[in-house]
Order: sequence, then structure tokens, then C-alpha cells
Amino acid sequence: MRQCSVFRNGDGLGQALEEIRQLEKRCLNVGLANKSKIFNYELEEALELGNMLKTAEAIVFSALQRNESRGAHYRSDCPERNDEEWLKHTLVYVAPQGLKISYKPIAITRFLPEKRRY
Amino acid sequence: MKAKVKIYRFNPETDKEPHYDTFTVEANPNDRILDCLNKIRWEQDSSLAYRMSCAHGICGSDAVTINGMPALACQKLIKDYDYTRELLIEPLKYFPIIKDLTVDMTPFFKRIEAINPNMPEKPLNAPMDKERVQSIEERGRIDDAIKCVLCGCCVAACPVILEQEPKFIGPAAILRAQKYIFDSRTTDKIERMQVMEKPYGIWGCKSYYMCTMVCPKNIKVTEAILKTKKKIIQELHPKSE
Repeated sequence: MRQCSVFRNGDGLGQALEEIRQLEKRCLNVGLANKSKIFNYELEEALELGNMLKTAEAIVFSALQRNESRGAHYRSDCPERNDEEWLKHTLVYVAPQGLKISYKPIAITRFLPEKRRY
Repeated sequence: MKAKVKIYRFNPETDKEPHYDTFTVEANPNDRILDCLNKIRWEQDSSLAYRMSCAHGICGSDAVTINGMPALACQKLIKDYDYTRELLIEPLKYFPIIKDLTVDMTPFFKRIEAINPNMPEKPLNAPMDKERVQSIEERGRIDDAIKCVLCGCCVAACPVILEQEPKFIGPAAILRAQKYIFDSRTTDKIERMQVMEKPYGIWGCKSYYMCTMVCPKNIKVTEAILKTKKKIIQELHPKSE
């Protein structure tokens, strides 16, 4: 968890990704004691757990690829913003072999991208 | 410390009659009642059903009856009650019970729908492509009503609904209507006041002040109802003054 807050680096994100993937494996063995069909929060939370882990994996995986710093993504191993390579949205897909990543250009309208100077 | 919590239980799949279960949880006086419920569900009995979402008094989904009074479980702390004794947690009164502490809120939202809780379709007092600017004073008239989170505590505490006339439209819907009737941007105030005068409408309120007492957002509900009554008299029945 501490590896994925605003200040992060490649090593930490890599470790976190490994940990999340271990948890996802464990999550496949989740069992339920409560079989009720009405207001079964145990079932709801079990389903949420799997989805949250998948989302966490997608976030950390994308952050690991982005080797620059931008906004709330501050990489201490690459502290500079790099518009040349990274002025683009990250898109993550769930594929059979694992997460698949692609990028989409940014539509720039009124506010031109520029470096923060404060 | 240990907190003893006695909870109303009813599972329609297995129970013919409701019963009470008592749980003991390790807790701090500063913990919220919701923390106790979560601890019970996560550590002792996963079948315990109660609604919750934001856990910070914004969504209004965890309204329950605590020691007889409706409140949001996420806003009340253990130390708000005499915790040397058992805490009693029951579903909201008046509403049909689905399971344990969850109730069917349909009768609540039917009431809100009855007053048409939307801005009018007719053009407002400004061109549609312009902002509808309000002065601080104009906004102040509806400030309180806007804080409502639709939790249902006021309806579950209203002595008129509980003991006299279950069809009474209730505090939350009148409060919502008050917002539109006093909003400087609405154009259908007269129609809205007429809706308030329908049978089981605003005149059912006997100003018991229970809604104001229990409101988790500290809205002066009864005051809003009285203001609306006054406006209806002034606008619709000027001679009767």
C-alpha cells in the first residue's frame, strides 16, 4: 500500500504489483459461510474484493509503465515530467494472458499543458 | 472496553418471528455505532444485514433506531449513549422490514415523489442559456432544506405517522417542497402549495418537533414546515388571516 501513494518508484510499484497478484490468486479460493439470497453482504463483499484487486492491479501496472512524474503520480526514480513520450491517456484491458495496455492521445482545448512552477 | 449490542434480527428465509441477538464487541468509546455493526458482521455473524455506503453521514443509508431513537449509525458514537448498559439497535420504525436492520424505503420515496422533486419544465425566470443567479439571501431561504440526505429518520420519528395518520406525507417531503416553494428560480410555487394542501398534506403536521430533534443534518425541519404553512395562508387564503 505504501508503495502506491503519491510518492512512488519503479521498485516499489513492482513489489506492490507482485503482492497484488498473489492476493488475486488467494482470492480465487474465497469461500462463503452465508448462503442467503436476501441482503447477503458477505457475497457482495467477496465479489467486491475480486473487483478491487483487479482494479488495484490495473492502476499499479499502468503507473509502473509511466516512467515520468505527472500530477499525483510522482516517481522518485524519474522526477521530471516528459510530455514528449507521456502526454497521453493510459488504457488498460483485461486479456486472457493478463493486463493489456494501450494509449490514447489527449484532446487539448483551452488549457495548454505546461510545467507546474509553484 | 467491551460494548454489548442487542440487535433486532429477522430473516424472512428462515424466521417466522423476529428475535433479538446480543453481541459483545471490543470497542473504544469514540467508535461509531457503525463500527460495532461492521465488527459484528466481519468477525462474528456475516449474516447480519444493515445498509451502509459512505459511512460519513452523506449518503443517509444507515439510518437505524438506536435506543429507541432514529439516527445514522455512522454519526453516533458509542460515548453518545450510556455504554455501561446494552445498546439496543433496531430497524427504523414504520417502514416494512426486509431483513434484520434493513427496511423497505419505498413508502419514503413515494412521499418525496408525490411533491414532484424536480425543477419545473416551464422556463425559469431567466433565459435557458444563462445562469440562474441567486443572491446570498435568496439562497439562504433554501440552504437548510438542501442539506437533507433523505435518510428517513424524520419520518420514522414523526408521531403523526407512527400513532395518528400513517398516510401523512411527513416531514421530509414537506421540507423538499419548502425548498421549491422558497426557491427564487421556480415558477410553479402556487401549484406546489396546492399540492401541499391535498389530503394527508402539510396540515397534518402538529409541530411535535420530533423531526427536528432526530435530523442527522441538524435541519430545522419543523421551522421549515411552519414557514411553508404561513406562506400558504398568505398566498392562497389571504382573507383567512
